[in-house]
Amino acid sequence: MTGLLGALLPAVPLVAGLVGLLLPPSPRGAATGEDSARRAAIGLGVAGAAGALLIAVVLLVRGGPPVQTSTTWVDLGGLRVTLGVRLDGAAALVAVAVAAVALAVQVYSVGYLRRGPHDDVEVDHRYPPYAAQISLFTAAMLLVVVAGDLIMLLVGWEVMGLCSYLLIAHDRRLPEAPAAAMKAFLVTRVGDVGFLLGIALLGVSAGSFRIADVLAHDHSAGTLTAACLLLLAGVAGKSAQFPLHTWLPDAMAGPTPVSALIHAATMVAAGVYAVTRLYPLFERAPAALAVLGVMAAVTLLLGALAATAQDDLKRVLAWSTVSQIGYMTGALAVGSPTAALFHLLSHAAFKALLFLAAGAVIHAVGTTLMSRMGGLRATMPVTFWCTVVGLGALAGVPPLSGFWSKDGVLAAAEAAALDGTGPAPAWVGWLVWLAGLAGVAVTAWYATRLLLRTFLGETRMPLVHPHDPPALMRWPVLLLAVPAALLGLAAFLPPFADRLAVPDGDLAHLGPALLLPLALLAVGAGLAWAGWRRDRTADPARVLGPLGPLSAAGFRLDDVQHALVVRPVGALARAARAGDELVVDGAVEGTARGARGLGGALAGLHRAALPRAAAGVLAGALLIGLAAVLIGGAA
Amino acid sequence: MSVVQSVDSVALLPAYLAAGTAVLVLLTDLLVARAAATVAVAAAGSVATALGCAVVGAGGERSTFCVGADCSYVFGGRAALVGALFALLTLGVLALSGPLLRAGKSPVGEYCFLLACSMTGGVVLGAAGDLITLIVALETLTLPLYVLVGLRRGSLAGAEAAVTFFVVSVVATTLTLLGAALLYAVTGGLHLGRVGALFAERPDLLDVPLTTAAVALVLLGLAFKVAAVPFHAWAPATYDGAPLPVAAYLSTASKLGGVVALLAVVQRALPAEVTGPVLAGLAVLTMTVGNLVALRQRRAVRLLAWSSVAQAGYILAPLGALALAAGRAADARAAAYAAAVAYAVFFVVLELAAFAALVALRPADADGGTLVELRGAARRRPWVGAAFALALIGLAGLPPGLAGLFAKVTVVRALLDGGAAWLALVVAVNAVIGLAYYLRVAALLYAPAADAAPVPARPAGTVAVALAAATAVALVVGFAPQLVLDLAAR
Repeated sequence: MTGLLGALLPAVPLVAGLVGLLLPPSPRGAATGEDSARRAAIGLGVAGAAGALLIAVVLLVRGGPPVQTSTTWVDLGGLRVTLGVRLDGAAALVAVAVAAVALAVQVYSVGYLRRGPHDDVEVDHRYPPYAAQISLFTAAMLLVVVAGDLIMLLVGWEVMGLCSYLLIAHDRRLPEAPAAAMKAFLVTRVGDVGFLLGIALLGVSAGSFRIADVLAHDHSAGTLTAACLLLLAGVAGKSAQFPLHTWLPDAMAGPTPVSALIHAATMVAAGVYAVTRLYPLFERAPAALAVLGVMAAVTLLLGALAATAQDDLKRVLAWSTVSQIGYMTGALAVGSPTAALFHLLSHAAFKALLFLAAGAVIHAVGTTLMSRMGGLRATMPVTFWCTVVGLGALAGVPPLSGFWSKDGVLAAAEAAALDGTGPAPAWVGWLVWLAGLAGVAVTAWYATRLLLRTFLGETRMPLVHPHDPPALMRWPVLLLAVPAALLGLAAFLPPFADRLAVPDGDLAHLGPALLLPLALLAVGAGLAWAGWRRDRTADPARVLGPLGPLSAAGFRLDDVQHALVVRPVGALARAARAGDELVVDGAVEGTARGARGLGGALAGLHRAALPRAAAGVLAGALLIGLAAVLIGGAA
Repeated sequence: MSVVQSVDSVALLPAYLAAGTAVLVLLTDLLVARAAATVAVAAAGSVATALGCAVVGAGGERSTFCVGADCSYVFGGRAALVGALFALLTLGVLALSGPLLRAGKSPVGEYCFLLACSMTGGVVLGAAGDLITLIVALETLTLPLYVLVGLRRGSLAGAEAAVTFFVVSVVATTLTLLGAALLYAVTGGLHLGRVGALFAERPDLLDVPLTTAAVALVLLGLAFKVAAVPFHAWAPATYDGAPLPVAAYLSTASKLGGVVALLAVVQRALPAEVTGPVLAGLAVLTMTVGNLVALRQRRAVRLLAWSSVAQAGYILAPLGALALAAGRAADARAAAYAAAVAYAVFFVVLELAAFAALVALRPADADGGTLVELRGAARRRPWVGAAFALALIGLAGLPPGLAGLFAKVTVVRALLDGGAAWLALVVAVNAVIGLAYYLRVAALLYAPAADAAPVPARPAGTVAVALAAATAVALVVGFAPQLVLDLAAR
C-alpha cells in the first residue's frame, strides 16, 4: 500500500502535466480573463499538485518503517535496472514540502500570470504549457524524492533540468530570459555529466542500480571516493554550489513563482536530498566530504556577500539561496544529514514565502529594483508582515523556523570542529562552523537591508499606488508564513523528529551555544539598521565601498567563467565546426559527388536502349559464363 | 510404368481458375461487349484464383504429372503463396487500369485477357517441378506483356518499349533454354528434384566445365526477368514506354516471377557452389548500378524502374551468401531462401503502393511524367502524397516505412548468419545511396508547389481503393512482419 502510494506520488502530477501539454498553448482571440484552455490548465495544475500533497500527507501520517519496493525493468546482463520506490520518514517530509510549495505556486500563478486590467498590450503568458511544465517539474522532483533506483532518480533529475530550462525561458518579452535558461541548462548539465558517471560507477561496482543494493555493497575505497566526487559535481550543478552556482542568479529571469519553485522545493533541494539519500556512501569517503565542506564554506560566504550589494530584489533572494544551500551542504560535510534535511524543510517554507511575497511586491510596483521601492509597509501590510516572517526565518531570528534549523547545522559543525565527531577531518568542521557563524552576521545584514529598502522609509515611486495582492496570491503567501514561522518548533515534537530519523537526542538544542549566533545576528542587523538611520534614502550597501560593485557582480565569477570556460569552448567549437565542414563534410560531399558522377556516367551508357541492351545481355552471359567455367573449373 | 497418368485436378484447380478467367474474359468481351463486364469478370476471376490458391494450399502439398518420384507440378505452401500473390497483383493492376481503359486508347477485352493469361503463367510458375514447366510458365507470364507494353494506340514510345522488351527477352530465354539443354546433357534429368539429387550424389559432375556453363546460363537467363545487371537495360526504357499500370505489373508481378523461378532452380536443382558466386556477383552489380543510375533520373517511372533494378539486387543478395561454405549450411540456406522470399513480398507490396500513388497523381492515360511535375503534389493531395511518401520511405528502408525496414533487416541478418558480412556491408552502403533519391522524391512531394501548378484530378475510385489496400497491407506487414516471415519460411 505504501509502495503504491509512493509510486502514485510522482504519477499524479506527471499525468496532470502531460495532459496539460495537450491543451492549446496560447489563448486565441480571447480578451482579458479566462478562456477555457486556461481554465482547464489551472484545474489540471492545481489538481495535480493538490493530489500529490494529499498523497504525501497520507504517507507522512502513516509513517511506519522504511519501505522498499522494486520490480525489474531491464536486465542488461549483470546490470539490473529496477522500477521501485524507497520511502522513509525523510522522503515523506520532503515530498510534503515539495507538493505544498508546488500547490502554493500553482494557485499563486493563477493570479500572477494574468492580464491585468491596466495592461493595454496583450501579454503572452501561454498559461497551459506553463502550468503543465510546473506539474512536470513537480513530478520530476517527487520522482527524485521517492526513487528506489539510481536510474529512476537520474530520470527525475534530468527532467527537472529540462523543465527548469523551459520555465526560466517562459517570459518571451524579457531579452535575457533565453540566455539565462541556456546558461542554467548548460551549467547544470556540466555537473550532470559527473552525476551520470558517478551513478554508472556505483551501478557497475554494485552490479545493480537499486539504492538499497548500492548502499549495501562493499565498494572499494577508490571507487567510492571517485563516485562520490563525481556525484558531488552533479550536486554542485543542481544545488548551485561554487563553482557551478552562476546559473542561479541569472535564472531570476523566469517568472517569480517559478523562482519560488526552483529555490524552495525542487531543483536546488534535489542535490542536497540526493546526498542524504546516499549518505552512507559519503560517510565512507571522507575525502569527498572534505571537498564538500570546502565547497559549502566558499558557497555560503560567497552567496551571503554577493547578496549584500544587489539592487534587484529577486537577486538578493537568489544569492541568499546559494548561501543557505551552503549551510545544508555544510551540514552534510560535517556528518549531519538530519540537520541538512531540517534546514532544507525550513528553507523550503521561508524561501517560498519570500519569493511569493517578493512577487506580490513586483506585481504591485512593476519593477524588481529596490532603489525604486521603499515605504511599502503602509500600503501593503500583509505582504510586509509576511516578508518580515520570511526574512526573520532566513536570518535566524528566534523562534522562527530558520533559527532552529540553522542552529542545528551550526551545532553539528561545532561538534565536528571541537570534538571531531564528523566523518570528515576536524578542519572541515572548523571551516564550516566559522563560515556558518560569519554567514549568520552577513545574512542578518542583508536581510535587514532588504526589509528597510523595500518596505520602510519614503516611497520612491510616488506615481504608483501599491496594494496588497488579490486573494489568489495573498492566501498562498499567508499560508506559507505559518510553516516559515512555526516549523522550527516542530523539532520538539517527537513524531517529526522520528520521521527525520534523528540518530540520538534532539533536532534542536536549547543552550548557551545559541547565544553566539544570536549575538552575531544582532550585530549584523544592528549595523544595517545603523547605516540606514544615518541616511534613510541611501543604500546601506554604500558602506561596502569599492567592494560593493564587485559583490553586486557576484565577485565577477561570471567573467572568470567566461574567460576560462566559455571562450576556450567557443574556440574549440569553431575549430570543430571548421573541421566538420571542411574535412567531414568535404569527404561526405565528395562521396556524394563521386556517386552522382558515376551514376551519370552509367546512365549515359544506357541511352540507346535496344542495341546496347541486347549486346549487354549477350556480353554479360558470355563473360559471366566464362568466368564461372574458368573459376569454377579451377576450384 | 503406366502410360495413362492420373491427373490430380485439385492440385491444378488454381491453374484452371486462372486459365478459365482468361477464356471467360475473352468470351465476355465477345458476347457482352461491355467494358465494365469484361473488367468485372477479370477481377472476379483473379479473386477466385487467389481464393483457390489459398484453399488448395491450406490442404497440404499435392503433386501431379509424376514420373516415378519426380513430379512436374507440385502445389505446396510456397506455390500457394506465389499464386495468391500473382492473383492479387493482377487484381491490383486491374484496379489501377481503370482510368487507362476508360480513356479508350487501349482495347479493354484484349487488355484484360492478356493480363489474365499472364496471371496463369504466374500461378503455374510457383508449382513448376521441372525445367520445361518452369520455362513455359515463365514465358506464359512474359509473352502477353510484350503486347501489353505496346498496346496503347498511336504511342511510339510504347511500340519502341515493346520491341526492346521483346528482343532482350527472347535473347534471355534462349540463354535459359540453352542452359537447360546443357544441363540435361550433363545430368540426364529435367526435374528440379532429380537434378538436385544427382548433383548431391555425384559431386564429380561439378568438375565437368560444361556443368558450370549450364548452371550459369540457366541463372543468367532467369536474371533477365528480375532485371539484374547486366540484363537490366530493357527495364527503364520498357517501364517508361509502357502504360503506368503495365509498368506496375512489370515491376511487381513479372519481377516476382523471375524471383520465384530463380529460387526454384537455386533451391532445388542447381549446386550452390556454382550458383552462390554467380548470384553474389549479380547482386553486387545490380544493387550498385541500379542505385547509382537512379540518382540521376529525372523521370518518375525511370526512377522507379532503376530503383526496382536496385531492389532486385537486395532480393538476390541473401542467395549470394551461398557462395561461402558457411552460407551452405542447412540453417543458413533456409534463412537465405526465406529472406529472399520475404524481401520480394515486402518489395512487391511497397512497389505496388508507389505505382498506385503515381497513377493516382497523374491524369488518366498519361505517362509517369517528370519528377518536377510531382513537386508539391502531397500538398494538393495530402492522402495520396502521404501514401506515396510512405511507399518511397519504405522502399528506402526507413521508419515509418517499417515494412521496408524489416525487409532490409531480414536480408542483412540472413547474410550475417551465412557469414557473408562483406555482402551485408555492400547492402548497407547501397541502402545509404538509395536514401538519397528516395528521400529526394519524398521531399519533392512536400516542397512548395511551382506557381499555378494544376491541381491533379481526384483519383479514380478503383485507383484509390488499390492504393488504400496496398498502403494498408504495407502498414500491416510493417507492424506485424512476422506474418510474412513465417509465410516465407514455409
